[in-house]
Amino acid sequence: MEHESLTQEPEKKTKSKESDNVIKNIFSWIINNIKFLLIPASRLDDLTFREREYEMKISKRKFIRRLKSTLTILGISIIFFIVTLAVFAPWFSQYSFEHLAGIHTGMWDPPSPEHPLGQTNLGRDILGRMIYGSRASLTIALPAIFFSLVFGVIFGVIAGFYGGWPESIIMRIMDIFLAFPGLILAMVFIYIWEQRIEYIMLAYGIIGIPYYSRLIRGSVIQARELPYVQAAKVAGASNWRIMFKHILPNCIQPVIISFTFDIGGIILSLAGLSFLGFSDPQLIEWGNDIAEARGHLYDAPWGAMWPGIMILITVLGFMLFGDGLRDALDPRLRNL
Amino acid sequence: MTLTEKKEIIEENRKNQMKSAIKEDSNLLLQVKNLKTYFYTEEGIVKAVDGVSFNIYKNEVLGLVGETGCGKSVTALSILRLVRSPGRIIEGSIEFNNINMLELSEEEMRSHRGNDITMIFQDPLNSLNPVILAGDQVAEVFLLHQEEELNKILDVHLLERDKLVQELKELKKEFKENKEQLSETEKEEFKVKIKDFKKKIPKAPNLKDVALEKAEQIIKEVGIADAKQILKRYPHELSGGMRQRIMIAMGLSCTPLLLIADEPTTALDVTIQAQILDLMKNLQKKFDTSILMITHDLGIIAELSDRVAVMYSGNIVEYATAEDLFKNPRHPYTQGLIGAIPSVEKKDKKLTVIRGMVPNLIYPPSGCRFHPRCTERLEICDKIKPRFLEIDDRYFIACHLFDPEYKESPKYQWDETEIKESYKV
Amino acid sequence: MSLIKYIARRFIALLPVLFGVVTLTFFLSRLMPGDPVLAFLGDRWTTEQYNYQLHRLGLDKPIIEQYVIYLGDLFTGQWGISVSINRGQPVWDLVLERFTRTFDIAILAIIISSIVGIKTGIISATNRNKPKDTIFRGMALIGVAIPVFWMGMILRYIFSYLIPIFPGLNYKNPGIGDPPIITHFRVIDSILSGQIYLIIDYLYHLILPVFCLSFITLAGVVRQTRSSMLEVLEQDYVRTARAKGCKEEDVINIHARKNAMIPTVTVIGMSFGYLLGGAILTETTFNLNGVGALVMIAIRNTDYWVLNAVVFCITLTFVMVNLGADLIYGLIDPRIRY
Repeated sequence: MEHESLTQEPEKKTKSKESDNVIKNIFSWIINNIKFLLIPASRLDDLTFREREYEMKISKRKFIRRLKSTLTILGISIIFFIVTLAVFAPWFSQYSFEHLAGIHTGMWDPPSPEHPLGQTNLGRDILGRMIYGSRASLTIALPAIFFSLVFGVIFGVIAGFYGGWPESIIMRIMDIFLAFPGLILAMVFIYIWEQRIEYIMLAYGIIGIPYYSRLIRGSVIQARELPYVQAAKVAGASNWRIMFKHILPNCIQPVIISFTFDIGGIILSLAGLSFLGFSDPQLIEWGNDIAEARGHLYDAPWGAMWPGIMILITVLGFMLFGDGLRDALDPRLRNL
Repeated sequence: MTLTEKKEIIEENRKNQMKSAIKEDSNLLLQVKNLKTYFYTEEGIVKAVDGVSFNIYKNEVLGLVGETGCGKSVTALSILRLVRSPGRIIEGSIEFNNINMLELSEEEMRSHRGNDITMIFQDPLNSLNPVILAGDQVAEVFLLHQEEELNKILDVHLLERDKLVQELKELKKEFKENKEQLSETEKEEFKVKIKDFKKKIPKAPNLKDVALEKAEQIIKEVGIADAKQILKRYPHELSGGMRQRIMIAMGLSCTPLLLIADEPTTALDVTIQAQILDLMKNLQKKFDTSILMITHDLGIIAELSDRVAVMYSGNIVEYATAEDLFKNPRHPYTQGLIGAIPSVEKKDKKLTVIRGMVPNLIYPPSGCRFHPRCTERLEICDKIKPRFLEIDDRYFIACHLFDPEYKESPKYQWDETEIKESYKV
Repeated sequence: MSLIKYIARRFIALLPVLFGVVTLTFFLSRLMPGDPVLAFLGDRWTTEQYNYQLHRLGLDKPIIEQYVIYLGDLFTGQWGISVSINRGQPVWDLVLERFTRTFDIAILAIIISSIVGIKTGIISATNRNKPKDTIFRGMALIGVAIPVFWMGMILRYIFSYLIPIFPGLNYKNPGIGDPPIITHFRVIDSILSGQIYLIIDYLYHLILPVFCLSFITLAGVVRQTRSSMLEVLEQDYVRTARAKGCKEEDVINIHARKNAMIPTVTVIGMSFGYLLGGAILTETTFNLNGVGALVMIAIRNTDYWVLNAVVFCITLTFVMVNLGADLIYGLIDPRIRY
């Protein structure tokens, strides 16, 4: 069927179909690999089919039960809340984006019926900026971390799999980036480029790469020697196939665990960067608001308080979830 | 080991049995009655020990045999009340020297642990703390349980030292008094004399030094020649046999009444195994200690034990003197176990195989837990749990075959397919 | 002897990293837009002056030559002059003055968070899944999720404005003098010159910043201690200790704690990097006038010399702290041989 359609349809359509297939493949790859996240494959290797099924069932049940701790549920609800806030910001805020970025009267006015949490330096509504601020944090943090994840994993797998000089070169460079103070690196990057949102993302993306590549390299080195990898080699699979089809799914677990936790970390350092004045000043962002309110701490404490609380809640949500995930997946604590 | 030696040992074992048979009740050391230890896990309640009863008499070695996972170790840990959450002792009594251990407070229990009941574990590498010196680990037992005795020894040491110090003082006094009359050379000589004397006086010992001294003695006792050096080694610097000797030294340091040995030789090489077993045998006699020997190796049991309890899936199925049991095993499981030992004589015969697998302890089989694997199974076996009966003098068994009440029960007819199925796994 | 050899070997292994960081900073700083000569000259200047300063700062040479000269100068201690601060103040002095302060709060914070974190982690592990455990872990997570600079502001608002018991800004009272400069470390200089009241004043000013900063690493330490403690408590040797008749507190303090500390030490060393980043933020909040303000001015004015020096110092500290963590690791674990 598919073959026929391929030959009959004009070229443009087949291209879009191919890209569809790629996305589909990626999704099915992710879903297929979730089971590997739940149980390390090394343990599955010496089990019979029936035992393997039983083991999977048990692990899944344990995993879900472990996730059900109070703190984790709290984390998930916070993430849900923040994401909803970001997506439906215009519904939650009575002011539009343009209004919140404009200049109005009412410098540092205390809370009033129109402005329940008070006004900023330029008379902007703090509540509205809090709601819209979630968009900036999430839109910078998520792409940045995906960037570091993808490149970090690629470098890490290559370094771990090939060993020898590729490993030395990659890992020495990563070591240098790791030893470099991250905050200063971000500041320099952003100053070299421009204080714009895409560059902030890119800067953070680059800074995150060494953490993931180091994390994944360690487990790749362990996995490299496992029997199923040797078996794939004997079967004549290409190196790339072995790396990304056989090894990666078994090594990605620690990265996934740290990933959720790190989203919180990125949001936090992003706010720090804005606080120091190294981000887009036009952006509606919590860190910017705190920086602005810094000079008026004693006469307008509400200016700094609310954005900070938003940062705290958002970061806490991701960290609670990440922590819960780590507990549920940590192989060392699995059997306790 | 030569054949004559072996014969001697068997002879001795028999003598011991006779002894224990004569003064049985007055010699009762440990009485475990209907002990039940369950683990409350996520998957369900694991009935690891489900109604176990046995006795241990003074100067006796009781062997506890069974497959892996039948609840031997949990039984041992239950006696010391060291079962960790989610495990709990839910029923039964453990009477040690007529004290019910299950009613003691944690504080009182601690004074028994390591003192009159001690335990040796399977893996001597992991059982010793990797970051603490071997000597300190042995000395700790003395510090925990023999503080008074240590203090007495310490007092003696201190007195001796005080004497020396007093002498030194007198010497100095003499020197001062005679200072003017002495010539320069004589003065020098005197000074050297005082210096030498000073060197002789040891540092003031503390309690730990005394404990280490005792530790050195006990380590010598377990057959380590250069005990003094071993004291200052970390466990990873010792060999496997050495580590197990240290464990035994720790176990015997307070001359316990009962030593529980949980597979003490499983992790060791065969030659070292023999040494360790030999050592334990000698020390048992020397220290008049009873031993609860837990193992899956029937050879060890045959060599060491006076009595044997065979455990299967949380129950004791047969409990008798070693001699009776090995000569004439009655329970089908025991028969299977003994039949499964490979030996030169049986080379041409097929080994007996107990078919099937160790049962799940969360959902154990109904009635007798062995019935799905039993060749002699009766119709009644999957319906009623067998009683633990004394069918002969000091011969206990839990099997319907030997229960007069169920003599009439017909034999169960195994299906061909059923048998095939059970062999598969 | 073997210990010294080990330290030397480890340090030599670290040299490529240090060299890489120095190189990276050098070239990154040259990529920054802006002209340091202009930053130095200010608004009014003539071409002659410009060219003279360009030559004096060595910026008229090819970049590779500049790099080689820079490397040479770095190791001979000639770190150049700052073009942005005090018009030509030697960078060496500037860094010594500012960096020691940052170093003080970072070290104090890591010590406090290690002590508190390890204690909390052990309590958390021994009360696993009980309310105490949940509360402690939750608190530690909140501590790490709070933006340091914001927490500093809130603390300032509460403790120096609403209830004025702590100073909110600066590292010393305005009226108080400075000790004579000997080592540049304020505490040590004060002790050497016998002015104890200076130390008290200094530490009093550091209470709030250090409190803030120690939260950055706290959660990591708590979590690592807790999980390694849980792992250790399941080990056979802990069971042996119990079978010996040890008290539960001795089991934890004598037998388990040391083993559980082994992985924790590494985590503390690694997290020192975050702490130094956090120190820059905290300093800004409390106007401590440390290395943070210096970095920002240096970047904004393309002050290559100051930026390079600061990055070098921070990296060196980070690397040395990790080396220290390695040594402590070896001291705790007898299985590690130097």
